[in-house]
Amino acid sequence: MTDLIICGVGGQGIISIGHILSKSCISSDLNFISSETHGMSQRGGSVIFHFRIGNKKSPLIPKGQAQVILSGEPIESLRCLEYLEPYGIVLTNEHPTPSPISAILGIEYPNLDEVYEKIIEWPARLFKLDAFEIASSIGLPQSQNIALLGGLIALDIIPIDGEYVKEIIKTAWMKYSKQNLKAFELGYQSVKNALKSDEYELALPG
Amino acid sequence: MPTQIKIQSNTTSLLDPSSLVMLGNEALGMGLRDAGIKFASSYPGTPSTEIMDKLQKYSESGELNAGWSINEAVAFEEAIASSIIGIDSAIICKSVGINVAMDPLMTIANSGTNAAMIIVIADDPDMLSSQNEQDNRMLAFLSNLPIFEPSNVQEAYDIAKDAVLLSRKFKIPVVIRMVTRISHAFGMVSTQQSSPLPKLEFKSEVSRFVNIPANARKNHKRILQVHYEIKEYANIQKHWYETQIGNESDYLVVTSGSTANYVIDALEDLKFNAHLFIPKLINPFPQRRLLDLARKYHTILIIEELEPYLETRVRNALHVAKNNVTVLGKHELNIPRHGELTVEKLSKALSSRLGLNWVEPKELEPESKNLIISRPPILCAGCPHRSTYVLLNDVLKRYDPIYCNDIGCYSLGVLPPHNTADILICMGASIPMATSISLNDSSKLGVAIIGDSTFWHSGLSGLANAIWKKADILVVIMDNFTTAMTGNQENPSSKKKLDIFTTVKAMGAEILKVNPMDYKASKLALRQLMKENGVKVLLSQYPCALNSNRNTSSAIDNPTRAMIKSELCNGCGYCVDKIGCPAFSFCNDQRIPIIDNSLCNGCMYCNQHCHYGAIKKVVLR
Repeated sequence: MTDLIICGVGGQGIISIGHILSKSCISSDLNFISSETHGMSQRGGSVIFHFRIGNKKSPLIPKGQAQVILSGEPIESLRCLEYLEPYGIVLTNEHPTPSPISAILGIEYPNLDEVYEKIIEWPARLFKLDAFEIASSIGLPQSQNIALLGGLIALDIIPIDGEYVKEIIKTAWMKYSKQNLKAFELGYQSVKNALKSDEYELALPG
Repeated sequence: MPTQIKIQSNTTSLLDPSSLVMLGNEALGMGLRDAGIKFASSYPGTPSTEIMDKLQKYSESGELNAGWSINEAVAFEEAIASSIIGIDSAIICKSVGINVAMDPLMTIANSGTNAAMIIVIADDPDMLSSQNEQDNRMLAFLSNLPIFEPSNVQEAYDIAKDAVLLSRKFKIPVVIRMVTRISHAFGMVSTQQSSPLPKLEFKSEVSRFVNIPANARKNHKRILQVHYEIKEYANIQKHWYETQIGNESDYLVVTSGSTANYVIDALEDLKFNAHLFIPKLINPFPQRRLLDLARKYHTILIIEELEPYLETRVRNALHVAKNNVTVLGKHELNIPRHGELTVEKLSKALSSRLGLNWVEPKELEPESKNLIISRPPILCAGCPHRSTYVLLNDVLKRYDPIYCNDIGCYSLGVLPPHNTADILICMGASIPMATSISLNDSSKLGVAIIGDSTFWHSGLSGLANAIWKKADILVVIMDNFTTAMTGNQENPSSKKKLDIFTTVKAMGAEILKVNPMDYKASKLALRQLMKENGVKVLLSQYPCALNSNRNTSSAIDNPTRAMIKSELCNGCGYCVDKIGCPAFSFCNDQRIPIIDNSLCNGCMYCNQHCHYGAIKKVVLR
């Protein structure tokens, strides 16, 4: 039983991550149910994808029950934090996406260190990934979501084999499969490195 | 390496038709095909759209005939005639879409059909993409039509066959009611081949299909009789399932549809023992089985989202049978008649009424909440609607406009910085409302804002009315050649099959066509148009930013982006405050904007508004 929240900003490919994971479930012979919010939440709005492996019936994860939040944007991980169980994992893109409406209303994007501090206080184990940097280095700005997916697989929390995921990434966007697989690999390595580092150890409970 | 991967290597879409993982909507689409439906019509609307998207794929391969229609009433009437001439049909729409088709619905319900006719209605509890929250199970009382309600993705597939068989047997339209959380749930489906339905032919039956009053009186009696017969049939057919949570107890729970999922999870979390009765055919309600069960239990809990439909049925059945079992419904359990139910809401309601242990999930502290900036949906970067709104705000200020907006992406004009919505009601309401404003108060300018798909859907009659009444109004038709909000479905403007310009011109209104991405030219044109009297139509034409650019591979191929030359920028903030493009933001306390190149689509509309020439075109890579 694994409950995963995938969140971010409309246009970041959040629902695509959900679809790739859902497809990976058949290959891995896992029972799952997932649910998305789309329609009015197109570009620029907050998007949440609920992904549940196991035998629960509700496609929505109840608050306080998710083991992992995978977020395309720092503020969005804070917005979804109530879904996280105590000491659950937050893996977030470090690259902020400001809200244009807030900019027009004169509301400043908050200080990121403060945001991270609040996430850790929840309490949560926080992993940061500069998916924007990874995607830019590959020359495909749209591959941030795939870098995050690589990071998620590196956590070894969800019982899905990374090879299945890569297989599905290849077929999803044939033309850009090389860049996407590179993004996946770099995201994966980045989180694997963080798992080894002292910084992560300090964030463990107790 | 994985030994078996069931993904075809030549697919380009994640929603691969051969896959067994799919949306609830796709499962229903596939179920309708496998149940023998040969004709399907629809108008796009969230959360129903992907049902027709799926059926259209079968249509392309010649398995059936399915496609979009101009509006729900038209789609409905097409499905009626199809059924009458012996072709099993389906009409698909969203919650409020059925309102548009209520006229034919209420009569064909009485007349009945020949071949099967399935009415799929996808409701939207909590209004994730709708203007009201109507619970279409209540059609049971108004129309007497049978209603099925699936509770998961697999049932969405399976239920199509049950509905087609029932519709054929009783020659009556059958409703399948979906909700967002089933339509947009993603799950696994196992499919079954069914044997083809016997062929039917058209036989003229004037007394049934010509609804002049003499026949209509007989038809009303017909539906009442059929409803009674289906009630007997429903008692025998067992269109319900029962399940036990924990051990035997004194409690019976009645629930249905998506709510059943929340009930099962919540009762398991609460370790509350109960027997669950979950009808799939909710109208006619399986009354006999309910009464059998009611005799065995001390208390009945009725748990449902939105209106107390099941509760009305259950209480009525118990009352007639003089059964005095304790019933806990909406009021007793304190379950609201609005919004979506969740496991948490149910756990809270049940634990407080029944004295169970439940720990309310922790909330974020106020200091954390304060850091969360609001992020409503917004028009995409490069969206031509944004440019049209900038234009309207610049030219119309002095006319004291009242903006009557309509249903589409452009409803987002309600948000700053555009603020171009004073009234929004339903599909096609913009032009009649603007008409009335100008006729009633000549000091105001009634402005109607309507997209191409909505214009063809229900704008034409409003426009004819305005021209006929010589209303002095401005109608802005935002033609992006697609039904964008629901995900790029075709409409008469797509591929220029029908032309709005010539249609409006022929109706006799003053019309000017502009490219909204060319600020100067469109401003001149609108000023020119405003000198005219009567109905003025501004046809603002430019392809949807997603359609032309972003969502296709050419999007990623297009390396053009806008970039701020900070040495030229004087920090006036005009571009951010006036245009409101999501790619633009201020970097914390600095007034020099930055442009996010993962969002910008290189439309270069912004540089037409920079007084300092600080926005330049760049090429990535």
